[in-house]
Amino acid sequence: MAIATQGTASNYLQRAPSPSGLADVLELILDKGLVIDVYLRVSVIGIELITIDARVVIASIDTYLRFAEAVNRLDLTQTEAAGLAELRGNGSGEKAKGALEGAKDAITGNGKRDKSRSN
Amino acid sequence: MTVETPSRVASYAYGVTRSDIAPSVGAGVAGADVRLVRHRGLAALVSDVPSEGVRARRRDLLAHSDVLQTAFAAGTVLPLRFGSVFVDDEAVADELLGARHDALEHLLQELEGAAELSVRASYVEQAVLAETVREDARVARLRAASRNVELGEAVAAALAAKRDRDTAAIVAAVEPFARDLVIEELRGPYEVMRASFLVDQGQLSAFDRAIEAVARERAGVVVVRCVGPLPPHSFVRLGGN
Repeated sequence: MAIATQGTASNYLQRAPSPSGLADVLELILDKGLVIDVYLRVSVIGIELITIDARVVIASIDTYLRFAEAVNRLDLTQTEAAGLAELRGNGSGEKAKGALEGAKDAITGNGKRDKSRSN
Repeated sequence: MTVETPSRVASYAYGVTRSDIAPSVGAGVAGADVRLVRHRGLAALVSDVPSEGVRARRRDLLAHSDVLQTAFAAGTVLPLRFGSVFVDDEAVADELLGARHDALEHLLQELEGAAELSVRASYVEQAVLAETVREDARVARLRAASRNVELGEAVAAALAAKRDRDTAAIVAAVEPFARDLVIEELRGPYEVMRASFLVDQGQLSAFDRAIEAVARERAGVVVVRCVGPLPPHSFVRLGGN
């Protein structure tokens, strides 16, 4: 239920009367508009344009695994969704995993030491 | 003795409008004042840039859009793509307004009183995946069986079918109020659709009501973003260009 309402009811339509940020503007003025032979074309430097054709991206093992991972992590019965979305949104999945492994190592290390001491 | 060589300037062009329209447009790219270059009933919105070019920054991109948006409030505008620089104002008059006079005139007539609305719809990841597991028995089965590649493939197929249905629903809802539309390429796995609609000013509120209604039907799963009224960036193709 929490999953269904995440993102939601009040947020189903974002209505902006004019372009409200670089993302809106970029797609309007870099890809569209009249193209005329000109003396000089101002180049856009330092703004990385990431254009991904979803049809290409979607048909790859990598994407399949990512979809599978996302579906496997769904908790269909309760409220973990927001937390998961946050983790993924920050791209911090890796970091979290690293931290967990670190913790595991530390515990193992302690365990060994305890063991050798008890001998 | 040295002769001061004034830094040479070229003419950056934003778009084309009618010469009888006098939009009060402020600063443009690189902070320069925007003026009109007039020729046979047409006018180009222009400002100075150094003739060796400028390094476009974020604010320059926003300025290009703002100039067009402001001019559009005063009348029909044909936007040029970002970065179009002519040698000088005379070249703007000759090569842009003169050489393409009839085609530009025709476009201005055709686009009179119309605006572009940019519509993007995206899935809320968690919500659409949960919906897919609920609706698609095969996805649910593969999830339970931990068969990941097949599961991912089934999810991709389910999303593709869902995307087609949702796109068709949105287009069907707003198309009656649009004169023209352009469907654009998607850029991410959770996008539903990207499209631009050409809408008569008189139909804007009907279009708005329609998009609100169709978006509400999928609240929680789909988020729709609608920007406009914009100058007709997507509908200014010149023949043979």
